[in-house]
Amino acid sequence: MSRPEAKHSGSNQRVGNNPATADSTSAPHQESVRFYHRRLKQGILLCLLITYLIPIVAITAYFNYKFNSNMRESSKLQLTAVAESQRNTIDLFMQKRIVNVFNLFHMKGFSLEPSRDDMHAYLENLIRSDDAFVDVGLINPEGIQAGYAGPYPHLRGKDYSEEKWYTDLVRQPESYIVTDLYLGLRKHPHFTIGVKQLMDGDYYVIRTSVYPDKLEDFLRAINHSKQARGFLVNREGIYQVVVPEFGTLLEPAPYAPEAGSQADVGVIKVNGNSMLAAHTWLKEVPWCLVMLQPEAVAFEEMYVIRNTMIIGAAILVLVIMVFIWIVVNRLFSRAQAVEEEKVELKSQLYHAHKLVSVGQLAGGVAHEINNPLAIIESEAGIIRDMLDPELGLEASPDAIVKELDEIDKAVNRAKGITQKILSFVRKTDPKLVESDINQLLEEVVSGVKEQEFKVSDIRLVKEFDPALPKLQLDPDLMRQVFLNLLNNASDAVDKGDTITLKTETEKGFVKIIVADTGKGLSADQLEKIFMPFFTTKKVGKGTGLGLPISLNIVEGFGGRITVESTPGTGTAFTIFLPAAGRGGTSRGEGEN
Amino acid sequence: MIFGKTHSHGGFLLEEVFVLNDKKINVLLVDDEEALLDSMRRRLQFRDFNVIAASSGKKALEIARENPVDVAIVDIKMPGMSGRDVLLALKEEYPWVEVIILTGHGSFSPEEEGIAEKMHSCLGKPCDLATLQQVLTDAYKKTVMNRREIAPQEMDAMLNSAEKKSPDAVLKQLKELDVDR
Repeated sequence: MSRPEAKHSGSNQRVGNNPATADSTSAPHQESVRFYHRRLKQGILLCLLITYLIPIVAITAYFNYKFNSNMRESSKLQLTAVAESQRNTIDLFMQKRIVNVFNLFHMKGFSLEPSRDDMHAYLENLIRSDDAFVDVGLINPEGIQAGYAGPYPHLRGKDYSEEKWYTDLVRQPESYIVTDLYLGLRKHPHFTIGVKQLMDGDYYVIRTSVYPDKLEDFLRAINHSKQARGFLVNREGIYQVVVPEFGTLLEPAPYAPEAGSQADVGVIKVNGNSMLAAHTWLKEVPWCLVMLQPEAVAFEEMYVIRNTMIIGAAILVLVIMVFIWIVVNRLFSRAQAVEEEKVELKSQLYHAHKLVSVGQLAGGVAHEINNPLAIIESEAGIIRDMLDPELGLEASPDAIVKELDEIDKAVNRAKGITQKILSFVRKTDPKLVESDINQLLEEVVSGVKEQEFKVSDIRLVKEFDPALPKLQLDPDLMRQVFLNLLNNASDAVDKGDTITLKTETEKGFVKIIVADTGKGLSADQLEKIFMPFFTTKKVGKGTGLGLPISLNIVEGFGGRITVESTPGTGTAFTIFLPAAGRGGTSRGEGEN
Repeated sequence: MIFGKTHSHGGFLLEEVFVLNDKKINVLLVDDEEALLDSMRRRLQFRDFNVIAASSGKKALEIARENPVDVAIVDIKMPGMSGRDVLLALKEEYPWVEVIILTGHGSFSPEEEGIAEKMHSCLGKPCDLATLQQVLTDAYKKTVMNRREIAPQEMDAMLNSAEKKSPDAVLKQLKELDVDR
């Protein structure tokens, strides 16, 4: 087929494109994907851990704090409750004793001038109620102990008018008084209960000494629970009742609440130990009940629960971390598998796309192969005819050889086609080598081509950009592309025409232009220029596979081919190759 | 009269074919493959067809204008005027001429409307000569019928009465019918 006459004016342009994008993934690309994955994984792990751990830690801390203060409060309340109940017991004991003494005034046969026997009867009466009573004495309005029963008979006739407790009792509105603990004559700590009664206009007083052993028993009773120790102190902070293990009577206590203060609970330091201290003042006596409990014991339960909580939270955090780690790891290994599958799929798609192109070829192939086959058959038929005596034709060797030559030609033609198809279909992994495009072009034109152009009187112009970046390409494949374009150009030109080879960089692409001042292409031809088996060359000369193969190769490197042609003026093919290697630049940009 | 001629002039006609184009079937062969065109032309000529070869549709139409064509064999895929165009043009100008389409191309559909009824038949490339000869004979029979306006049954009756049924014999008889016009 010859190139048609120029019927069209104006410029036509066409961009070669294949349906699927050839994308063979190179190793560096995969490496960067892996790196990206690792970073993403770390980021996600960190985010997940933070979002899970921060609330857990915050909640744990908050509850710990809340729980601590609640437990502290409850421990204090507990101690206070114990102190209160104990105080009530002691108060009740005191009240009873006081009432015992009062009752003496109202005893049958009570006499203001009692005999020794009377006094013994009174003492017996008291001791019957409680053996804490030691002695008893009746003090007349003059302050003289008129009657006495007890272990110290010489106390009979003792003058109490100057004693502080006596004067206080007489003066005060209340009709009874309880003294602080004192040793007195007997060198045994005791306290005195004094009760006054108005008789015939004068105050008579019954006094009795009481040993505080009973009170000690009460205090001892509460000590069993949780190392709480209780003791009684007076306003001056002196021990009134104390279990001997803790302290000595009549000595200053380590903790003395302010006189008359409200019942309270607090933390104090005793010998460097933190103690929880609760105090409450007795109603009947100016004494204060103090309860001490080591903080460690008081808060023991709290500490146990707090530790459980902290350990639980830590375990929870650990479990969550492990879980997150496992899940993220799984997710990512799956994502990576998918990614790898995708890469594999892409390469399969690339191959499949090639096969589709081959499928499109099939119709064309049939025609292109059938023509030589028809010739071969026909030529063979002629030879057979020549050898057929019935037809009586000339069958000289020369004549037969002439026909055989035709057969050879047809066979070669068919062979050329099948070879090109094979090169089109074969799944070759391009070897990526850093290549200098200018040098590749030079290699293609130098030698045979240049000589050919000189003979045909065709001018070859080279406008190479020396600053052209080197590209990762398969040089053999690229040479094939350049050779295809050069062959097309040289077939399109006549004597005196020019072929221009030009390289330049534009918007991240390396442009290689192969232009000729030949016949040009019609719009119709431009439409079909990249279709397999479309050719403008003479029958048997062009296979119509050069441009589709070239396009396939260039797209394989992430590039594209455009063609611009004006009938009668010339054709220019432009190859765009991404300058930054594969995938660096978006494709299909800056073209029309 | 016609039958008698056929009977008695079997050998005589054989001698005459080389002399008179009028006595041979004129085949117009159109194909852009020069090698194929030449070899087919020669082979058909060995078999008593008068073949006029044309390497393009344009040339084919020019030849048809100057020569009485009986049957045309047209390759479907040709640059410029395609086989399809040639078929339509021939049928337009010479409706009686039967056209055989040759195709090596899978994309051509012989069932296409406006084409199927116009062509005589469609043969795939490569096609063996015996088949081509058979089809040519059949096509020529139709051409004769077209020209002479003979109904198919009438034609069959005429041919059946011929004692010799060899393709050559039938062909000769047909030629006689044609020349007789």
